[in-house]
Parts: sequence; C-alpha cells; structure tokens
Amino acid sequence: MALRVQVLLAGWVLAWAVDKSKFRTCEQGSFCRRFRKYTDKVQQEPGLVVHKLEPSSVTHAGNKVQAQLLFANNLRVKPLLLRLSFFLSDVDGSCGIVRAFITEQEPMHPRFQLTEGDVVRPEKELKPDTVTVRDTGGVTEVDSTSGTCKVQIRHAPFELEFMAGGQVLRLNSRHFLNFERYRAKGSSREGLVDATDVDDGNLFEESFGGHTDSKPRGPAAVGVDVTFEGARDVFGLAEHAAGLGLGENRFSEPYRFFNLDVFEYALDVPMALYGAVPLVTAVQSDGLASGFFFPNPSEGFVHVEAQGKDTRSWWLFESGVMDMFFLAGPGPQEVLQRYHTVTGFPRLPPLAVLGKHQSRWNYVDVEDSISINRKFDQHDIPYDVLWLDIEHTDSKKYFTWHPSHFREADKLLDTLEASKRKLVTIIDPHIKKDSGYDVYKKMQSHDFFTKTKDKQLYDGWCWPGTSSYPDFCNPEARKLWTTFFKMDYYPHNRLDLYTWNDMNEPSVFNGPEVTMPRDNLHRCSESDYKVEHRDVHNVYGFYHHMATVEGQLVRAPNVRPFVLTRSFFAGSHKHGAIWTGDNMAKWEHLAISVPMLVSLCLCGASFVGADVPGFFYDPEPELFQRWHQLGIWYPFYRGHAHLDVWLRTKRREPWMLGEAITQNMREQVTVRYQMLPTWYTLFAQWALDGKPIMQPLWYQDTADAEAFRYQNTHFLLGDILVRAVTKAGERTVDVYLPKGAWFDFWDPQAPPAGKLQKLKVSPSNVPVFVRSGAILFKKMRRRRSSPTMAADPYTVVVYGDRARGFVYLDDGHSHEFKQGRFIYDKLTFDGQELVAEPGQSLHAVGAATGGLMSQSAVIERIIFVGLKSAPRSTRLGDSPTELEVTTSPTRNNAWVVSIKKPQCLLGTAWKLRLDF
Amino acid sequence: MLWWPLHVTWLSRALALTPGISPAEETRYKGTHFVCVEGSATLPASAVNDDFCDCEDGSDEPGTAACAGATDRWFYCPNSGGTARYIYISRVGDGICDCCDGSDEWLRPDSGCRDVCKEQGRARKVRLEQRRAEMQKGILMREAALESMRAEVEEWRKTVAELDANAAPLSKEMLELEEVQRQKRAAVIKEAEQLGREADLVGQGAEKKVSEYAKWMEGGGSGNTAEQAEQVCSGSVCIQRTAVSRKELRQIKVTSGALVDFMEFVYATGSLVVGEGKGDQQEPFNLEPGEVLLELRGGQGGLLDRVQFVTSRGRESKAYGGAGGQNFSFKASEGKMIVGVTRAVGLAGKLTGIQECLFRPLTDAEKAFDEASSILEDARRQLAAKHKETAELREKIEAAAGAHAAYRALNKCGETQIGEYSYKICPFGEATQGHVRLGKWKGWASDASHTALFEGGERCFSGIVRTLRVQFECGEGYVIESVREPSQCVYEATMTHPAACDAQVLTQGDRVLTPHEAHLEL
Repeated sequence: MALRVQVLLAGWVLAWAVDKSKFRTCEQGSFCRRFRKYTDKVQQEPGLVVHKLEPSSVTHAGNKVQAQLLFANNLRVKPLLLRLSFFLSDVDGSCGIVRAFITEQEPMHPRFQLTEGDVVRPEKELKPDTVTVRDTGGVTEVDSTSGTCKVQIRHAPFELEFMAGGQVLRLNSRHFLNFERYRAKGSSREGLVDATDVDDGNLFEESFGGHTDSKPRGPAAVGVDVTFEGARDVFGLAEHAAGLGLGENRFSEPYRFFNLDVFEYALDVPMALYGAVPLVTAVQSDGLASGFFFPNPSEGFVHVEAQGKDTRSWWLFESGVMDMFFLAGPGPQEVLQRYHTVTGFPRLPPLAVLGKHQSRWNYVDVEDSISINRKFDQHDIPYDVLWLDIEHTDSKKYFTWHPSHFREADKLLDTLEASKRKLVTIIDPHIKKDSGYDVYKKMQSHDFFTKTKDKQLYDGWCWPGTSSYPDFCNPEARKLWTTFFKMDYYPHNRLDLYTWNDMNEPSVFNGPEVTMPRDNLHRCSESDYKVEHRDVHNVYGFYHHMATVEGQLVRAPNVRPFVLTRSFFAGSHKHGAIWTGDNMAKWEHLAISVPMLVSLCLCGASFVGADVPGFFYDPEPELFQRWHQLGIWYPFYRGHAHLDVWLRTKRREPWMLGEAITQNMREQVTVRYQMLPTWYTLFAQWALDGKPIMQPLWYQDTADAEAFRYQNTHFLLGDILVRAVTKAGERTVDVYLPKGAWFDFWDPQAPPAGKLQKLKVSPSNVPVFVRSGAILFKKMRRRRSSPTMAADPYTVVVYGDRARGFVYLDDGHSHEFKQGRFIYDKLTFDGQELVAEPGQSLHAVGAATGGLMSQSAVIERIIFVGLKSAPRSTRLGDSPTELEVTTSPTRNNAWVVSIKKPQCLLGTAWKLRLDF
Repeated sequence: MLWWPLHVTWLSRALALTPGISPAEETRYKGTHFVCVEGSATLPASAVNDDFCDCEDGSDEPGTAACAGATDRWFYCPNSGGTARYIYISRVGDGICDCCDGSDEWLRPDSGCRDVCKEQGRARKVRLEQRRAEMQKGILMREAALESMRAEVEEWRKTVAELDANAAPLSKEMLELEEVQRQKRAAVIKEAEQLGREADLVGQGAEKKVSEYAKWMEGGGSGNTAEQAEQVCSGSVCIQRTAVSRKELRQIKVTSGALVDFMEFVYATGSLVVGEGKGDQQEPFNLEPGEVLLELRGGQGGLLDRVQFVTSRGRESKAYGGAGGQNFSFKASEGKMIVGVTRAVGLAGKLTGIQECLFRPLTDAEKAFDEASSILEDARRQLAAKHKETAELREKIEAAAGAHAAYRALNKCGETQIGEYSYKICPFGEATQGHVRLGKWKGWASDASHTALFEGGERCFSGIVRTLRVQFECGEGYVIESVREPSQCVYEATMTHPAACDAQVLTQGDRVLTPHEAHLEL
C-alpha cells in the first residue's frame, strides 16, 4: 500500500496525480545533468577522442578477452579495464551472449559490484564460448568459434560492435562513454576525461526536497550509448507506467530507474516506479531481435529515441561498474532465453496461487476474514488465497498478530484449511524500533541494520513509526531473516501461510524522495559498513524478497514458496510474483496495466498482475466488471483495495454490486479456474523453458508491422489473444488478429476470424480468441478452490484441423518436479488423428517421467472446434469400441465435435482416430 | 497415485435414491430413459450420474460435479437421521465432507467421510429443544407485556381525551394575551419612531458609517454621553464603564469565516462598525420592533472566533464564526439592554476580543411590552407542554399498535463483556463500548425486521462517526451475543430480546436449507 502521509498533511488536497515535484528529474540530479552536458559537448565536437583502446594491452584466453582503455586527453590518468566474456545459450547451446565489463583500475574506493550469483549467475555455471582474436589494424575482431557471433572493437576512438546473425548493436558509437573515477575532494581537473570536466557542480554534496546528500566519495557515474541498428523500436525497461514501445513514447526525459513508493503514480511518463529491470529487447524491421542488459543497481537513466532506421539509447548509472550483456536473437524468444541463461530461470510457483486472490487493506479481524471466506462459499465463487494487510499485526510489528483482532488466527487458518485455501500475511522490511520486539532485538544485537553516513543506526519513519531497516544486502542479515519464518518462531505459522513483501523500495516516509538517504551505509558482503545506499538502492527490495523466499524454504525445503513483492530488480523472477503497486480504480489504469505487465514479461518476470479493480478510489460497476474480466487473464489475479478510512474505498468483494454482477463474477472466475491446466502449462513453459506468458501482439511474428500498434491486446503464449476493454460504455472495439484464423473463445459456433475486426463486445466478458492450431487443456467443473479440483478430469479442446499443444502437470506444490516427476505431453492433430506423446522435455528439468502425483490425469472429454465435417466414427487406438460423440454445426458449416469419455490418460501415449 | 475414474458403484451402497435428488424429483429419474429437464436430449438411464455432463441444463448429473461449471444446480443431502439440506454441486466429490451423511462424497470413497448425521441430529435436537424452550419463554414474556400494554393504552387514550378538552379555554386565553402584547408593541414602535425623528433632527453625524475601530484600537472610549456608571463582567473579570447611548438597534451584520472579522450594529439611524476583516458576509440578525438585545456572548482564543446574540424574546442569533467555545458573556442587568460595543481590541484588522458593551435602560413603553411578552410566553409554554404531552401519548399509543410495540413494553438494556470490551446496548437510548459511545438511538431499519440503528457515536481517530446496527434475536434475556466492526467504526451487533419472539419463530427451521444458508444451520 502506498504512503498516505502526504494526504494527511495536506488536509483536503486529494490531487488526482502524483506530486511530481517530489521526485528528481535528470536535470535535478547532478550526475545526469552533467552527463547530458557531456554528451552535448561530445556531439558538438565530432573529432573529439576521449577513450582509446591500447592494442598492445589486448590479451585473450578461452572465452575471455581483456584490454585497457586509455584517456586520450590525459594519458597520466589510470586506464580503464575492459573485459569481454563470451557464453552460449543454456537452452540451445548457440552463441550470442557477450558480457562487456568496464571498470577503473585501483579505484580510490571500491566500486560496488553485485555478488556473483545474486542477480547474474556465477560465470563458472555458464557455458563458455571460445573465441579467436585478430588485430586488423585499428580494429580488434573477436569471433565466436561456435557460430556467427562476433565483436569488433575500434581502437580510437573506442567503439564496440556486437554482431550475431543479422543483428548489430553498437556500444559507444556516439562516444558518450563516461566513467567518473573516484577522486579526492578538491583535486584538479586534467583535460576532458569525463563529464565532471564539463560540469563540476554538486560533485561532493547536493540537496533535493530539503534533504542533503553528503556524497563523501564524490562523483562516480558511469554512462555509455548503445545503438540498435535497424531496430524499429526497443521494449522492456520495466517498471514504467508507459507505452510498450520505448522509442515510440517519445519522452525527452530519460526513463528513470530508482525504486520508489510513488503515491498515486502518473501515467505515460518515464518516471521511476517500484522496480527496475535494465533490459531491452530490440526488434528490427526485418523481425530479428536482440537484447541489451545493464544490471547496475544504483540510480539509472536510460534515454531511447528513434533515429532514422536505428533506435539509439544512452544508459547512465550513478555509481558502480559497467557490467553489460549483449544478447542475440534471432527472435525475442531467444533473447529472453539468453537473458534467463545469464540471470537464471524463474521459480515455478505452487498451482494454488494461480487461482484467485482476495485482498483488502484490511480485513479487520478473524471473524471478518472468516465471513469473507464464507461468503465466497455462499455465492459459489472459487478463490484460493485470502490476504491480510498491515493491520493484522500487533502495532505493525511483522511476524506478530493483532492481540485482539487476530488473537484467534488459528481459527481463521483452520477455516481456510477446511476449504483447502491459503492465507498470505504481509511482511514489510521496516522493523519497528521497539526494544520489546524480538525481531528488532535480534537484528540489532547482530548489528544487521542499515547505518547512517556516520555509521550510527539509521532510523526512518514508516507504518510502525520509527523503524530500522535491515541490511538485506548482507547475506548474514538475510540468513537471520530466514529464521523468522521457522515454524517455532512465527506464531500460527503453517505450510500454506505465504508472504507479501510491500514497501521494500524501501519506503521511508521522512526520507528523500520517500526512501533512504543515498549516503546511508550497508555492509553487503564486505567486512564493514562500506557500501553506500546509492550503490545498492535498486536491489534493496530484490534482497528483501530473496531473503523472504529463502525463509519459506528454510521452513519447508520441499514446499514451493510464494512471496509477492512490490519492489524488484533484474532477477526477481527467480523469487516470486510482482504486482504493479498502488494503481487507481480509473479506466486509464486498467488500460496501462496491459503494456505494464507485458513489459514485465518481456523482462523475464511473467508472474505479474495489477490490482483489480485499482487500489485507490471506488470503481464504478462497469469498471469493476471490465477489470475483473481482464484480470482473469493476468498471470497473477488479485482483488485488492485501499483502506476504508482516509482515502476511503468501499467493500468490493465479488458479491457487493448486486446479483447481476455477482453472477458475472461467478462465471468469469469460473473461467479462470477452468483454464488452470492451461495456465499451469504456461507457467511451466515460462519457469522451465523461459517463454514469457503475456506477450505483445507482435511477439509471434516480429515482421508484422501492424501488430506493433496495439497495446490493449496481449497474447498468452501466442495461442490465446485477450483484448482489454478500456473505456466506459464501449460497445464495439477494434481487435487486431495477426496472421492465421482465430476462434472466438466464448462461442465455438462462431466462424473463425482474422485481421482487423470491428467487434460488438459482450457486457459479460472481454474479447478472447484462440489461434486455429492451438490445443487448450481445461477442467470444466467449478470448485471452491484449486486443490479441490485435483481429482477432476480434463477436457481437451482442439482448435482447427491441424493443431499442436502441450500440457504440464505435477503434484502442484513440491519440488519433486525437479527430479522429473511431472507429466509433459505433446498432442498433435493432423485432421484425422490426435496423437499424444508423453515424456516431453523442458529446458530446466529435462524429460518428464511422470509418477508421484496426487492429480487426476483422466481426460473426460475431447472437443474439436472447426472440423470441416463430422466424423463417422471415433476410436481410441486399436480398440473396437466406438466412442460416444456429440456433434453440432457451426455458423459457417463446420463442426464442433465432442467425444465423451475417450478412456485416455495424460502422461500416456495414445492415438484417437476420427473416420470421416 | 493416479486417480482413475470410478465406475458406477454407488448401487452397491444400497441407496434407494439417485444421489443428489430430493424425494420430490424422484419420479423423473425412474425408467429406462432420462429426458433432460429442459428437454434438450433424451438419454439412456445409464447416463444419469455417470460423471459426465450430457444435458445442457446439467439435470442428468444431479449427484456428481460433472456439470458444476455449466449450471448452478444443487445437490440434495438426505442426511437421514439429521436434517436434509441442499449444497452446490460444485461441492460434490471434491474431497471435503459437506453433507453430514457424507453422501456428497459418494464417488470418492477415499475421502473418509463418516455419516455423522445421527450424532449431529441428536446434538441439534438438544440445541433445538433448548432454543425452543427459551423462545417459548420469550414468547410468553412478549405476550404478557403486550397484554399489560393494552391496558395502559386505554389509560393513555383517556388522558388524551382530557387534555384535548382542556386545551380549548387555554387557546382562547392565549388570543387575549396576544392582543395585549400587540398593543404594548405598538406603543414601543410609536416611541421609537419619535426618538428616531429626534435623532434625525439632532443629526450627530450619524448618517454615514463611522469606523470607530481605529479609535478603539488605541484604547480610547467612544464619545457617548455619560449617564451613570455600570459594572459589566466578562468571565471572572469585571470592568467599570461609563457610557450609555439612546440608540435604537435594528439589525446586526456580521462578517465571519472561521473567525469573526467584522461586526456592524445598524440603528434606526446610522451604524456602528467594529473590525475591518474580510470574511464572508453572513445573514444579518434582525431585531423586531420592541425586541431588544440582552446578551452578547462568544469565544475568543488568540482571535475572536465566535459571537452570538440573545434577545428579550429569548431568541438566539446563529453563532457567527468558528467553533470556539463560549468564554465571555455580556448580559444586560434588569431594565437594561445592549445597543453596541464600546471597546474592542484587534490585530491586523481582525477582532481579537470584545472588552466592553454599550448598554442603555429600557423606556416605560419597552418595559410594559416586555412584561406583556413574558406573560404571553408563560401561557404559550403551558399550552405547548400540554400539546407535547398529548403528542407523546399519541405516539405511544401508535407505537403500541406497531410492529415494535413489545420493545417499549420490555425495554431493558443489554450489557455483556465480549473480549476486551464491555458493551451496553439500550434500545431507545444509546450504545457503548466501554466508555466509547457507539451511537444514539436512531430508529428501526427499514430494510430488515427486528433491526435497530444507532447513529452519531463518538468520532473515530480517522474522522468517521461511529454507527451501530443491532439485530435482535428471540431470547428470554437481554444478551449481546456478538459485536463486529465490518469496516472501521461501523459496528454490527446481535442481541437477544424477548420482544423479538414472534410466535412464528417457532415454525422456522423445518424447511430444507439452501446452499446460501450454510451459516444458519444450528
């Protein structure tokens, strides 16, 4: 939930937008301001050479090449070190991952580098790609020995070009490279070396919004330009409340990365939000794709603009090192697989959390919570997880329960368990400063809290009042944190009590930009408090999330954790779910949720959702319905609402808006549950194969220029197309259907459609289409929660007369799938025979071996949609028994054919033959 | 373990009925063929409850969940030995025992459901009997109360008739007194008109508004003729003053926002202006002919934030300004009236306080009018008291005939300790949680029976005013059974009350509960 102090202080001022003046722009931070001046100067003097590679310094071993970069204007300045490492994709073994690392040699203060394995996997785990090196006079050429990938380095001025297949990325072709070395205060400038030579204001101190940053170490920014040759646009850079096409947005201000608790965030702006993934995927006009990833956790700015046929960008961070990755395609899918090779594959969530989540700030007490659970049952609406926000605690002391309202927490947990549902409690990072609070005492006695610049305990103000902030960057502090999740520590704990990490940017009500001062100190992996907060700001939430997930694993190693986080960084997909924070019950927020979530998915984080139907304000009934109708197609589907005081929101459980809406909610939530087998397969293909779940319309055909125009529509892995209805009273909408024929999900009798459709929209659902050629897996029976569906049989729906599909299932909650204990079948239909081939492989876990499952594998029904004619007879394999078939004609003289109880099982090989 | 579809083995359980259907539907499911209820298809009898949804309306699967996603049908639990009821078909075969006889899990022998209907039925019977006994007592209490009330109503009717008879002569007397008062008023008006003309003749530069504020700011008095010394008191401080004027006050205009910024005393001729601030112009306070100002009171903190006037008619002006409490008051002594302000202090154009008022004695005509007025007032009060008594009795008579009559007859508070709080709910009074008032009696809810509303409780920290909704349930005693706070500062309570014991409560509980009513099961 968001910070509400502004509202309290401002009395009646309820501005309908963020107070932008509270947050820094590029111009208001000295490192960004001087970088822009530096780039202006470089552009005005075309012949200027700042950095040059020293050819004699080039060394090479295996997959690594190293060299020195000299400062042409002052050779006495210590050179920079450049290191290139080449790796192969984990998924297909092809070349196309190049890590380019630049740092200063012997810096005055250590330059912060993320611990290997936290965000980026340890290099020793990656498959090296051996290279050859040639000096061709002024240019050093580095070639992969396993493919067409190569890097060319121009010596003076220093430029680097990455080529793979038809894709070209150029680093420093505009000569923006700026590497500010640590220096003593008052040291003199010596020729044009970096941006501090162009503007030396605020190098050692600066203020913003009444807060002063002491900057004892002075300037340390790193920046460079990256040009994507032939790219129509680039995508990614989550999280921003902006359109998908980063160049197309045409912001003059760069995209900002500085994780913040932004109250009532603005839309269509490049302002920073809660999380940061400095990754882009570039798509060329010919459809080829490539990626660039720059995981620096300090404040960042990325500027993107179209320039002729190219898209160009510059990337700037306040401190740390330049640790960059070039990722080859050929398609966006391969870019992402390479990104997962580098950062790791996502965590597979338990099946139950793909169901509906019901949250509110706050369900008041045990009885209120139980009555919510009961009302879901009374209205026969399924859901899986009930959420408790901060008010459930004793005075906002996390890991505690309110002494009267939640004294009988076990009664609630027992009730939920009886209907096979789960509970989530919130665990924020701020720890109430209270010597009687054990979590505080333990953290304090181990000296695990973040410190001020003078190495004193840092106090900030958050929900509980004065609070301290654990140094989550410190692995020892994280280890202690994990013990708080043990069964004998957290009262009322049980295995299906999950966790929500909020406010972990971190949010500090009285801090600069509502966060922690940049000159605060962390220990991280050092021996002492040497790391400035500025160096690690954007990974604070990442580590909080990681420590919490590890806590659940300490509690029960063989139970899959589930932790939702608001703040995140590249790599957070390895931990758990992310949501888009404190949105509003406004149509514009419904509309932006689609590009925001797609953008997260393109950044490797597919377990994402937006709060339905908007956190702040009361939704009008139509918005409420449209948002839930869309929300059932989000990977993470949670109903949530702001507190019922201050910015009051009314109760908005599914039955609160009258019988007609309740009925629609029941039907739509039922559809979510019927689709769970498909959802689970999508999650497995994401977590274990690196395929994003929500995809932009162009994802399956990057050469389709028209598809780039639509941001209100998303794919679920290419086969299901969902068009959000984003305006009040909208009766007809345009739906763009890419190449191929598309069946109406809601009406199998409708003729298949293609290309741009003007559609009448139903009030009961948003338009959803299924690609001809897809096979969906469903469980048709409504139940009260997903675990109660375990024994239910499957319905397989085959769309079109040529189709292929996969289905994944396992026990839904343990890690046994890592030992191959899962089912992964491929089904193919050639017009006559539907063939099931079990034992298929997924990258991260290999081939399915089945076994050890508590789930049904029975297929009760197979439906063929859009057959040209109705079959005369249908048989399974060589069986002489004819199966019972129901046929019905469609409106274009095709057939929907339903086969009753075909007597086949998932996880086994079988053939179903249709004779016409 | 892989779950394999169970073949239709339920017959071996020797069930006479098709699972899931109520006895009333039984005939439909007999015979060699089954026709879907909505007639969409005819199926062999073997298709009924074969765990596959054949009919679009789901009627072929009354006993399995096969149609659960497609229809909203209910499953009938016979619960032999207990109480039959309906559950949603979505609960059938999901591994959770919903019917006490376990019949909802007939397809899942692994679910371990025991038939607990007999135990539950016995326990329920005991509870029901206890409840029934308690209800019986409540019903008797209620009926006795209503009976004694009927006698009382007769008494009331008689009293009302007497009161009505007495009212006529009183009304006549009133008319006479009004006439006397009218004459006295005319005399006052006449006198005032003469004085007004005199004032006009004398002139005294009173045609234009005089800002005397500046002078007062310097601490000087106004230039009125001294007649006699008077003592006026403000709070505990008394100030000696020597100024009286013969001005006829007609109207007071006040300009105020959160503070009183500006006062203007408007006379028959001219006006007196106090203050220079620029608040909002308020509705002026007019004095009727003969009506005089007797009291000026208000509150001042740092600045003057509230002022109010009281007249000889007992009429009070609205409170001008903000919410400051009353901390000063100037009152005219017997035979005198207030006609203005002689000393006020201020700061930057805002009034900060009133230090001295301007008084003058009443004339003989004014005194006579005053006397006549107060005699009339007394008479009016007497008559009003009689009217009020009549109205109250009529209301009681009406209430005794209404749906909630018994609550009046059996009016008692409920007081119960729940958790950390002690709650007290008094019908027609107020409701408290410890020392905190949850609300004052508002009335009966229009959307539910035996439900009362309490409003205007203490304000919560968050600014919301507490409210309470009380659902009365039949019971012998007055016991608060539960108090909930479904959203902050909005409370809901249930309380037993014999007045809720309609005889018809006993007939409830015999029908088959629907899935929505799981919580009603005793």
